[in-house]
Amino acid sequence: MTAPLLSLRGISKSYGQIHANQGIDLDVAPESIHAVLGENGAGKSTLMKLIYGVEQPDEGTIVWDGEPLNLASPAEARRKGIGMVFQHFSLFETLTVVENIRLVVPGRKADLTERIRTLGRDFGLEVDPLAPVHALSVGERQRVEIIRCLMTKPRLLILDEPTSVLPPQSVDKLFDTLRRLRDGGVSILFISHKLEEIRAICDKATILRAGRVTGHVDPREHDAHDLARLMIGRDMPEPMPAVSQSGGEKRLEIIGLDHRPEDPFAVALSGISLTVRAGEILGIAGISGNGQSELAALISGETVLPREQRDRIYMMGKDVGTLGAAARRQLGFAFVPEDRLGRGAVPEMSLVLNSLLTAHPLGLLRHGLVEKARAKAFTSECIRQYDVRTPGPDVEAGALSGGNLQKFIVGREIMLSPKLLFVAQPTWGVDVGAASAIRRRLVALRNEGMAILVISEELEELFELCDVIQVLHHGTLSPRLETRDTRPEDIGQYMIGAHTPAAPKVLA
Amino acid sequence: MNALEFILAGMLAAATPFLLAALGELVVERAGVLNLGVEGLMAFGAVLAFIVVYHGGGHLLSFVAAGLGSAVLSLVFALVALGFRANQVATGLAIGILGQGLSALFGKTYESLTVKGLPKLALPWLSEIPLAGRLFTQDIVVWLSLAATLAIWVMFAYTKVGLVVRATGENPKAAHAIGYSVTAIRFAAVAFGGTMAGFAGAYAAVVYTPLWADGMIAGRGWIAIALVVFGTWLTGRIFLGACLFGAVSLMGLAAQATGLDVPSQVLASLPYLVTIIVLGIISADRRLLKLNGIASLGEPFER
Amino acid sequence: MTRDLMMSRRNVLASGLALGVSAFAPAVRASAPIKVAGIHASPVENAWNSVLHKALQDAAAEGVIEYVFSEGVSGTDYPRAMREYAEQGAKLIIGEAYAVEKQAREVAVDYPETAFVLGSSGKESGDNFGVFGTWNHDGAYLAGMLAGKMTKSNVVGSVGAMPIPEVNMLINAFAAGVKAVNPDAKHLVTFIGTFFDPPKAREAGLAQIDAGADILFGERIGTADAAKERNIKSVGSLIDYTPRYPDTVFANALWGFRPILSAAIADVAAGKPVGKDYTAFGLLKEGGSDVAYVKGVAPAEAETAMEAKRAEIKSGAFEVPRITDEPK
Repeated sequence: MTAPLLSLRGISKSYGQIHANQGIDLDVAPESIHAVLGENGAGKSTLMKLIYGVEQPDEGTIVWDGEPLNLASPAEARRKGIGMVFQHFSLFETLTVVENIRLVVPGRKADLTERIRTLGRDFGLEVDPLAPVHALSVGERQRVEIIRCLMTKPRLLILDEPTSVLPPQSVDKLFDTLRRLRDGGVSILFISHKLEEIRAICDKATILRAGRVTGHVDPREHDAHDLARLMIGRDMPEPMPAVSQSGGEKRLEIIGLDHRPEDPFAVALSGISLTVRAGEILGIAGISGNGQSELAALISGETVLPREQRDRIYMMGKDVGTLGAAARRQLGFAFVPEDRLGRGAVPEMSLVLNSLLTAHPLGLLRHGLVEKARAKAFTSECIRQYDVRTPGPDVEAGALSGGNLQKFIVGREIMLSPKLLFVAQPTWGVDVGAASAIRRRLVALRNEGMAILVISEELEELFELCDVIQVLHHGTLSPRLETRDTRPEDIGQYMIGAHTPAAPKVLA
Repeated sequence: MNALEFILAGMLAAATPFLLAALGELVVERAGVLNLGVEGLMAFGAVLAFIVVYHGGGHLLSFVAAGLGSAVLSLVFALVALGFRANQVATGLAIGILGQGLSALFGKTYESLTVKGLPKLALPWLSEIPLAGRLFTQDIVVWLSLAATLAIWVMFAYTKVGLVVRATGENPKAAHAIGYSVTAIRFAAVAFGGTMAGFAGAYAAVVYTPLWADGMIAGRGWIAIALVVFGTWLTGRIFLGACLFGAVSLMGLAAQATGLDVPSQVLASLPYLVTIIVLGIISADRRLLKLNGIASLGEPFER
Repeated sequence: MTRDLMMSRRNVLASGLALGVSAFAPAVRASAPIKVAGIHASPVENAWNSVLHKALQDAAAEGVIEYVFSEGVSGTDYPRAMREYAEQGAKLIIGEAYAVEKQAREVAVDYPETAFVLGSSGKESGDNFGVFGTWNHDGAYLAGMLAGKMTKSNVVGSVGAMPIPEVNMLINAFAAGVKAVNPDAKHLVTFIGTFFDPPKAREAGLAQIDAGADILFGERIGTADAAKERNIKSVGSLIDYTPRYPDTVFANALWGFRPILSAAIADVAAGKPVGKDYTAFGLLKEGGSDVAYVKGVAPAEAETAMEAKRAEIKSGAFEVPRITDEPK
């Protein structure tokens, strides 16, 4: 058994009361692709920060290549041969690719440009060195990040949730690159919560739960179910079966909507048409940055159409295009935005006050004054029904974990008994348990006759929830695709625009 | 000499106080910091420079003193706004007021006194050109400030230092993540801005009109800040704006001298109007604004 | 015991007699100086304020007044400063109301026992608020007479702050003096739009020189720098600038505040109301304005003519015209 490249023993790190990592042991072999698996909040990111030198462990030892390691900064980590690609890229949009790389890698511009091209060719990471980053797709930006790491000649490359921003085709290409890197002598530490992917590429997996290691396994020898159980400590509940419905009344109808946003970097929408009926869940798939935010703002009422553009958006049969969010809510529309903090809830305010934000029509106000008792009762009920783990209704929203806050916001909107519910990114950053609960709830509502529109970047989720899927690409929608008749690969094709009449350049 | 010659001859010198201060503030804002105390920093530099020259220290030493003094004062701003993360707008204004107060305090006994200025250096051959020849006859500080403009442009376009400053201003979190000390970079930028403001004030008090009068900076620091914004944080445009402002001011005065029957108040407002309109038009491209705007300007950086 | 009583009674009688006598004595007493406070909006080194300050200091040195002062008092603080000095027992307050015309008069109403004589663009108010303007046009006229004979290009220029009546009057007087000895001379006028901006004044001066002027009248400081740079002569305003610009400033349109101050003090001492306009005490014939010049710079006959005119003004035979329209 060859000596491990990286060895962690008894690593612990706490932030005040929160024990992010407790007594972690980990061995990464040379030339291996090693997964670190766990739900949100399990401690994966913290562990990576410790390995990369962003933070220092409170206890424990790290041994790198046989020598003890005490990193003071990421720069030192890079010097030792450890590189990291974060989930949220550290790229500067107004600078070009080579300028971004120059910030981290010493060298003359001409030399770096050449090296970028060479590395791109060798590892399947082609990208134009002279392009400004703001013009690159997400996949291309990720390539820049990886190339930037590779330039420091790492022997260990850490990737934090790399596939969360890629369409299916690009995932394959990425895995190809990773295999090439491994064969070239670089070990990969791969953080993810996507069980199928981990089984596809990794030869070793370490599972974290609540800050501790619950197992080291070879993922190829286990199925997704086993891995999930190790991750959350219990069996995942079955997804809710969908009761087939059809012919409900139209609750949301968008007809041929074109929209040119003011922001020059925003995506223009053209010819958007969709219909959501009662008892139906329509999902909108697509890679981030293809117009989802713009479309969401138009539906929620945050962006209002100009007068000339009436007759485009109908809710409950009424023309709402020129109406603001409040007016639409009065018709029975409810909305869970993708930004929990800042748009869905006010972080500094208590849950009670946050209930007031949208639930005030439920008798929580009298003559314009807040009925404190009623508001508190509403909030407590919401907390109970939706299993929001919190000390109480007076806790600040910002103190809740992502999953719990999402449960609260979804619960709040559902308690309005809307006829039409619009949810954007329902389980982003939410732990598996809460995500499952939310999805079950949505299907249950659908069964009872609610019309639901979901925008999500998680294809698995859409397949679980939706009756119909449409794909958003460069601001245009695909035709309706019945979920049970469609495969993820087909969706992937639409995501990269392979089916559009004037197929633009392929976002590989 | 006719009006055109007069304007060409005087334009660069008139622009120099604005230009030096604006170049300094450009670097500061590119790093993501908003320092509104430029006027006070200029006044402080001006009085220090004047005192040095008055007591026989010579012009070189006076500029050094002005640069150092204003740098120190600007570091007070940095300590409060970056170290203690106080609101940058309020802190900048406070430092500006402090700077003006200090300049009034130190300058009290020198009110209306004069010193010797600097001679003009004529570029050979170029200064013989008819009409535009006087453009090439300027004192050394003007030449140095032109060199500074070029240097700063090169810095931002080609050097790593410039890249690092731009990155810090656009995305301090990312800059921190890749290992740069945002705070250190911003401190350095603020000190640089202070030094330049000191030079600008020194120029006004010991070269341009070599006398000291309380309040003689007369709002030039504010105009410099405006030039940075209207020039969309691009060195070339800021230079253009400074020259334009200087030229139109001189034009108004030349017009009065020729007896043109336009009210003096209208002529006095022309430089502001013209500069705003010209820079406003060439910066109206929203793409450009988004591209060049400093994303983190004025926001405190939390790690 | 009896002796003590008698002594003290005598003392009481004696002091009572002395008190009574002094009560009936005329109010002009050289013995008790009047408490005067000066409130300056700018540092006392500022040209205009220095004229006031010097007059007040001279009077204090002579024992006529007790002088305390504040300087650099901004508009927002000015009324408060006025009140404080009045509360402290100042009998006469000298200062400038230009930035606080309305509030200054309101303060005066609150302190009827205190006399206020302030520089102002407005009129006197009530019994205790008097005003004065800055009339140094006598000196300007005389300087103009010298300049008119000195100019070789026949173009002279004036750089002023803003076209307000007082400034207009001053510049018009200079122009009148030039025209009196040289009717063909052209007079350029530039207003820089502010009271405190030497660099701008310099630029304005340069513009005029480039338009042909070879003598400048610098109502604003900074003008002399332009003249110095181009090796021509210029005239200073309010105070004597020649020591600072020895080769450039050959004449100065001086202003004197002492006559105004003396008139005000006299009124206060006599218990008369000060609510009047003291400006005229600044004229040359009262000992206020004057011209200070370097002999031998202007042609000899110009100096002789000017001195003659000066005598006429002093005797009252000639009055320099006061034109407040904007000079063109």
